[in-house]
Amino acid sequence: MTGRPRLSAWLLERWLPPEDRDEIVGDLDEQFAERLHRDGARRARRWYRAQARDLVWRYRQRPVLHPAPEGRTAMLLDDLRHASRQFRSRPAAPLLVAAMLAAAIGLCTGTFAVVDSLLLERAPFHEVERLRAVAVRRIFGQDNPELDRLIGAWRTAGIFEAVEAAGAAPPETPTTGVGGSAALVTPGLFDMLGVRPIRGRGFTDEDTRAGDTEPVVISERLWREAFGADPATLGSVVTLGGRECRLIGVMPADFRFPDRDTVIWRPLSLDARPFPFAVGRPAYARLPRGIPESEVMARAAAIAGAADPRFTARPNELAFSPIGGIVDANAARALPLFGGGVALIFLALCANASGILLSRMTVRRRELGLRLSLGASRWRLLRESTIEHAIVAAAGIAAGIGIARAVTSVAPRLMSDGFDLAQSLNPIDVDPRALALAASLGAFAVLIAGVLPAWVGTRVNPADAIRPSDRTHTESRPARAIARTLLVAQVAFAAMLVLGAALLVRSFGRMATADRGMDPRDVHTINAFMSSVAPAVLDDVDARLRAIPGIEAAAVAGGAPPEGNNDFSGTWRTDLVSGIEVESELYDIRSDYFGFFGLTLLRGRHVQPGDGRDVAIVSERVAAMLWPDADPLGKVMTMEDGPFSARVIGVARDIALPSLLDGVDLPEIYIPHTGRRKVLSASWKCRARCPDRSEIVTAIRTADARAEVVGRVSSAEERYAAHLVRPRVAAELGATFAAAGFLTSGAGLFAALTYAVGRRRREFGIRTALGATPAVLRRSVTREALAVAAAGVAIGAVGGWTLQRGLSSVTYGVSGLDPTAWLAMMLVVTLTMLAASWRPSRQAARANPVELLRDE
Amino acid sequence: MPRESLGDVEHFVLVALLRLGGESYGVPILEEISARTGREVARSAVYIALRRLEDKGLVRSRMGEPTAARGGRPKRFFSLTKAGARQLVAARRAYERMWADVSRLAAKAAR
Repeated sequence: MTGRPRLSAWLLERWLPPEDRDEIVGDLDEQFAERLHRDGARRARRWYRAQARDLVWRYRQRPVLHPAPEGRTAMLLDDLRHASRQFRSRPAAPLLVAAMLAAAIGLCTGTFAVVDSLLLERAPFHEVERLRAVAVRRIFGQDNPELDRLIGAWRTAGIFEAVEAAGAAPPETPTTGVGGSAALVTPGLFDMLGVRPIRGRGFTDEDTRAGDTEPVVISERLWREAFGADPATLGSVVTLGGRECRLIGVMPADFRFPDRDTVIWRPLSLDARPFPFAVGRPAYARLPRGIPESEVMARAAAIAGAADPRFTARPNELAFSPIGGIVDANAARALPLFGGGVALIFLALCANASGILLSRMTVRRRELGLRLSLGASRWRLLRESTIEHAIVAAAGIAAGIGIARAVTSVAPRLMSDGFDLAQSLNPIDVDPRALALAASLGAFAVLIAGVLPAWVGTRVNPADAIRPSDRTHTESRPARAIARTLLVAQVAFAAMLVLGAALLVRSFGRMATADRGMDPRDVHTINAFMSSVAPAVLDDVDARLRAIPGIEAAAVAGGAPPEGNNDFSGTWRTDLVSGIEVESELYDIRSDYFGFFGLTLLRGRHVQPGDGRDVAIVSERVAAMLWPDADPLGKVMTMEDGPFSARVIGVARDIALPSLLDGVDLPEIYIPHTGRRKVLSASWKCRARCPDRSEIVTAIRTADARAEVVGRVSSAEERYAAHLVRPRVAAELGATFAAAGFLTSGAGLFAALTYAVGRRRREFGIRTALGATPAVLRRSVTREALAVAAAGVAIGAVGGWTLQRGLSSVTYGVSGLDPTAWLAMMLVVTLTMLAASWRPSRQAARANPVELLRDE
Repeated sequence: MPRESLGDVEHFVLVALLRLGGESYGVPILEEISARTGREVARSAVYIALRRLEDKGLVRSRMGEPTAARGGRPKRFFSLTKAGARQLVAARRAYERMWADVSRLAAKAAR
């Protein structure tokens, strides 16, 4: 067609849908030809351009105007195109929402994976519910029998389906060079656990009688790293940590037993002399089917008593515990709380994401109204909105999976000290069920908040929505109510997190600054089992320690504070009371002990050379329990269920070991070191130059050639610090959660207020024109923020009440109603809300009526 | 089920098709509407209304042969279906019921 405007023709070709194009352009061209003839080229072209403009403009809204594409796939593609256009035009909000969803899902699922591995899941062994660690308590004041005698007796009696020994190999054993530890196991252990080697074989009784080259089984991880998984190494002699051994089998990489980091297993015979494990270390057993556990336990105890008369002294000395899972009560209490903190963050993030989506409601309503008026069906708009937000949710979930993976890989490194992650025998993997739950909850929140504007928006009369100047500049009542509820919820979650963090930080502070009752500075200790602890030997060790360069003072004793590691529990009788159970720490001391450790004797006298085993010094707590409101000096204390009786010669101040663990901070009983126990704790003070372990070992061995020095050198500061690790990690995590919580809620409030002030610009302008001062306007916005803060704090306080009761089991020396913590929570929340409202309130105060009138 | 009501443009298009009788295409429909109403109706609105009416089953269409006069492009011929005719009658009745006895009042109010 000649003469028609080229650009218009091109635009029509470009924008009209192919199936309609011929008909429409044909009609247009037909009329153009007629007009060309009738009105002349110029007017005809002008007419053509106007018609093309109208067509192109309307058909550019193709998803609306174009007839619904046929077939589901075409429809879906069309909706996806629409969604991508939406993202490109306004990327900030969807990105922010996806990021928040990702953080929520990632943190929640990652944390669940960690908690699951530690707490919920049992070790991955065959019929693990029938496996038990059977621990026999150490016996006070005597050499403990070796475990092999008990295992032998139990095997002979046949009370367990199987019973085996396993434990970390002595530290002198050369291991791997690639990390991981070695363990000694009896040949039947792998079969009892129901785990088979993936290559080669497990141990047989033959292996325990092997000649020069010891047979070993290693983990697949070690096999890959050290030998490149070379099959030729199986059955041949290899060198592990400088020691030759014969590699007979490879265990699966995720097999962890008895410790999480075990990678080498060496065979152990029950006939081995000396047997490496004494009572106090657990044996491992499989319970027989059909017999109650209590019955098995009773029989096991009876057999133990028959095997060794020392066991009959005390009843209930056997403890059966399931294998794997969490090890101590503190972690068991702390981890659910930790999970609760994460859940709060999850809820706060979801509420924030929903808030952002809802705040777009007014903008979207106008757009939706426009499209409704152009003929889009309501169903169509809802579907588009659903798809759009499903994409946002999918992006959030995908990123969330990445974050969860990162959390599970970083967690073991970050928290191994604090939460005994090393104890779990399970791999830490993202749990698909937890991921599915978090993802569906998060996606649900996003979809509801995302589609709600479309739902509400498409109910309005399109004519209202497309009015050029919409006079209702504030939100509809339900929209405002929903937005405000979400904000209040965020603030409440944040308030709970801040309260929890404040309590944890206060608890940590209390622990770190608590009065210890001793002077732990520069004190180092190592322990040894001696063949003799005669005064001459102890004097010799003492003199040799002092002779080592760098050592300023030394003390030898049985047990060193703050943890004596000699649990002395019993039922006592005195002249005032009887049948009093006291769990205490027993120290065998010499005369220099109190001076060396900076302990305080409150009354009475110190231990002197020549004192026998019939005198004792007790700490204040012991005194208060056994002689309530009376002076214990000169009185006699007698153990009703053990061979101990002593006259009190002194009362000492308590040594405090602030700890979250039960049974750690025990009261003290000091007795003269008379050789009752052949244990030695060698302690010394050194500052600039501290001796190596080997120097100390040499000194002890020179004094007693048969002495066995165990473990490493530890400092008293270090042992105090060990108990601070968990509270510190807890306080740090709590503070991080709280910071995330109130940043989220602060940002949420800031966004909501900024947006609301923007919408109410007109109202503020009119109020200014009517004489309102900037201060009045500022106050009205600040009041709104404070109302949200007050409601949030009130609801948060109710939640906080429940929270602090849970926290009381994992805090030290802080009441759940600690006024400082509660005040800090209210202050932090209120200040955050005020800070968030500062800029919006100034914006409101700057409203200029003249500018607004110009807008009209 | 209440029948979906007709929009203004849809109403005009249906009446135009009725007037034009039998089959008709875009140009005569546009001209008929502007001649009868005395104003230009947006071309796009008419095409969109036609497509929607077809979706609702109130009109049907078929493609004609390409002609040189239209740059080799075919016409699309529309005709009223029975349902369309019934809808039109129903719409007219609704209008009449609404207007019954108030023409005079309307004229008076407009004065």
